[in-house]
Amino acid sequence: MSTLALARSLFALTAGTHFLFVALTLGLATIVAIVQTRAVFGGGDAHLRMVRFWGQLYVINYAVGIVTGLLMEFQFGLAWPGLADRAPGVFGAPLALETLVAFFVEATFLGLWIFGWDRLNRHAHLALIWIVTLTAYASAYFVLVANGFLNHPVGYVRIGGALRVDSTAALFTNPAALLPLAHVVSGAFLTAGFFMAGVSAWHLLRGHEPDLYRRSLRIGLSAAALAVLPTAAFGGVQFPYAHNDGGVRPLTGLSANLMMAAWAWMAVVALVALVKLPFRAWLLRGRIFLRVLPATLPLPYVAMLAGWIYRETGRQPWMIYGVLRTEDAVRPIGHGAMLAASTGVTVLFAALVLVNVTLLRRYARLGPDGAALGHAELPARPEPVPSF
Amino acid sequence: MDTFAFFLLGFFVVGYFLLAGADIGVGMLLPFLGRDRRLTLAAIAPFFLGNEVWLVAAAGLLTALSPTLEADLFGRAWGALIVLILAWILRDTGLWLRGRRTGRAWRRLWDGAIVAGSWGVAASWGLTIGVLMGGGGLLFTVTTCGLFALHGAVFAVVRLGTGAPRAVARWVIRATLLAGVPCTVGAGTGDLATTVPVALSLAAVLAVAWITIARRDGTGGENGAGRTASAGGTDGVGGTDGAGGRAREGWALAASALAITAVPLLGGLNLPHASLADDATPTLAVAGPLIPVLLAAQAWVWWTFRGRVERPSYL
Repeated sequence: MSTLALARSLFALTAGTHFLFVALTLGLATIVAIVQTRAVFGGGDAHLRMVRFWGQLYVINYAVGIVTGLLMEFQFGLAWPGLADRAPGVFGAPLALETLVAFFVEATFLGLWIFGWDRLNRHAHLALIWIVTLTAYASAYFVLVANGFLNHPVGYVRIGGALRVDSTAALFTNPAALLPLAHVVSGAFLTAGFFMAGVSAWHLLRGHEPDLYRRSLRIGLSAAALAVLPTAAFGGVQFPYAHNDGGVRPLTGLSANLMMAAWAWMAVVALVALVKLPFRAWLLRGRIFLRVLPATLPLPYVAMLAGWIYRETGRQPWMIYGVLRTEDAVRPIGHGAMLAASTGVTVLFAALVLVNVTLLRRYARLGPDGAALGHAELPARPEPVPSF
Repeated sequence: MDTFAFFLLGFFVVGYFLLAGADIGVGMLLPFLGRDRRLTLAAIAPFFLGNEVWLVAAAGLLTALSPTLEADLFGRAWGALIVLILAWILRDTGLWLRGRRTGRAWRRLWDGAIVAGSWGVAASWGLTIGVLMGGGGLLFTVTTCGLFALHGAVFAVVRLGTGAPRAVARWVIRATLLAGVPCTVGAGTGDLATTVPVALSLAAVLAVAWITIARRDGTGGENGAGRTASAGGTDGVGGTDGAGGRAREGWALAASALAITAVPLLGGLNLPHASLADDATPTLAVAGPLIPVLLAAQAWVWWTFRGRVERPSYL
């Protein structure tokens, strides 16, 4: 592979992994925040247990999001200096604001939420998860402003070779940023909804804690049913901003079809859920439906990844559409160096993703009693580890 | 305007070394700071997330405020920065995963990732700044490893209150004084007028750290031993929980924090002259007012976790 191809696959790997995990983060944080609000205001023990169970899965999932996010932040400097060099204000500003307004605040307050569980009063603790949730949306927004500019550059003027901000308002209200934001947020709810529904159905089939998982199932299915149409609608209105220069590439076309096929399946499941949701007994009795739900869990991920590949490959060979070619933005670094970096990152991420998915599975199956999150008293017995 | 932009960059970079320096140092010394590593990790657990984002913020600001500086920095120190990122990822992975299963092999594996990743981060900072100083990368690595380890050891003294980190801190101060200070001079022989004053100040600060940490507290020993015994540890030999002891620990932490600023200081003094991006105003307009908020969030974390570690946490 050429240095360019290596840099592109490194970016694809980082962004793709990041995107898959933050999709669940975005939706699940919101649901955890809502359930914790219910737990603080009049909810019972079941709600608290739900917060700990789904919160635990959220935090395990978050770890991949943040670790891949670290590389995302540095990757522009490491591999794509052409971007900041040509467009520091238009591309750099949304990224800088993302780190300050979103990433920084999100991480600091998430730390307080996780580790301050039994130290803060419950209203302060509730406020924390809401701040974390809102900054996650802010993060998605700023990243999509930067990405939207690449797909549909607006609000800039060319001065010499450089792009300068002409209209901050146009830059930050780019339809190619706002429409994908709505699309991605709906998709995140679809992901989190089917995640909750799938895990809950697995437990319900085995007769575990019917009260807790019935509530979770209803929340998950409601989120999915609410999100399924907006996801398609906000996806559809973006087609004018999709690029297919020089004909549809096989990968781009395949991704689009895959995304829509996955959506069609989810739409059918969501429709059945919508019919069954008002009937409590029927919802729990339907063994076939409860078996379909865990099988549906991966589909939002398939759709997310396929949609993202469709959007990003369609723009090629442009980095900033019509302005900067991808091959002109890449760092002219030695092939060996880029190969070493790509290999290192690939190995680390593959291990991280594999281990994390295994952990998610394990903790999802363990149920609320297995959650370490929010446990005031972990066993104080020292581990049998030698000290030097 | 230019001044404010570079002040902001410096603010986040120095903030990163002051804050994350401590948790990276604890990661480096994890095998030596106490028998129950979950207690040692609980010392940094609430902090590390909010610490590492200071560097993320600095990187984001650098892209927006001075792409020329970014291009120069990443161009010259590319290899060191790649190592930095990989080590950082390895370390974070270890921190997040270690506590999620109980098996011995599992914990050992991620202990290894935390220790190796933390050393990798400290060393790659030495390489990065060394490249800026004109090629003294390997020598300056000795200094950065010493300073990160020292800051971590003192932070562990403050958070754990046990004897083990105290003994480690004494050892690390001596090593940094004897090896780190000469290596600083050696790394920057190209510009001795800059390097020597920094190295001398560093030696003075390390001496202060030595004075505050080396004094054994006769009365506090028993308190410390009693407290750690109740927490399940067995290494409380020289702990100090008295008011005077905690104040001295505070001074020691201030000294180790001041010492580690030598790293970004030498980096900053050796930066090339860089120009500001033309349209930095929107970023500066948002970043400026945000600083008090970010500082308040950080203060809240420190206030909430100002006490000693009493039990293992989520990590």
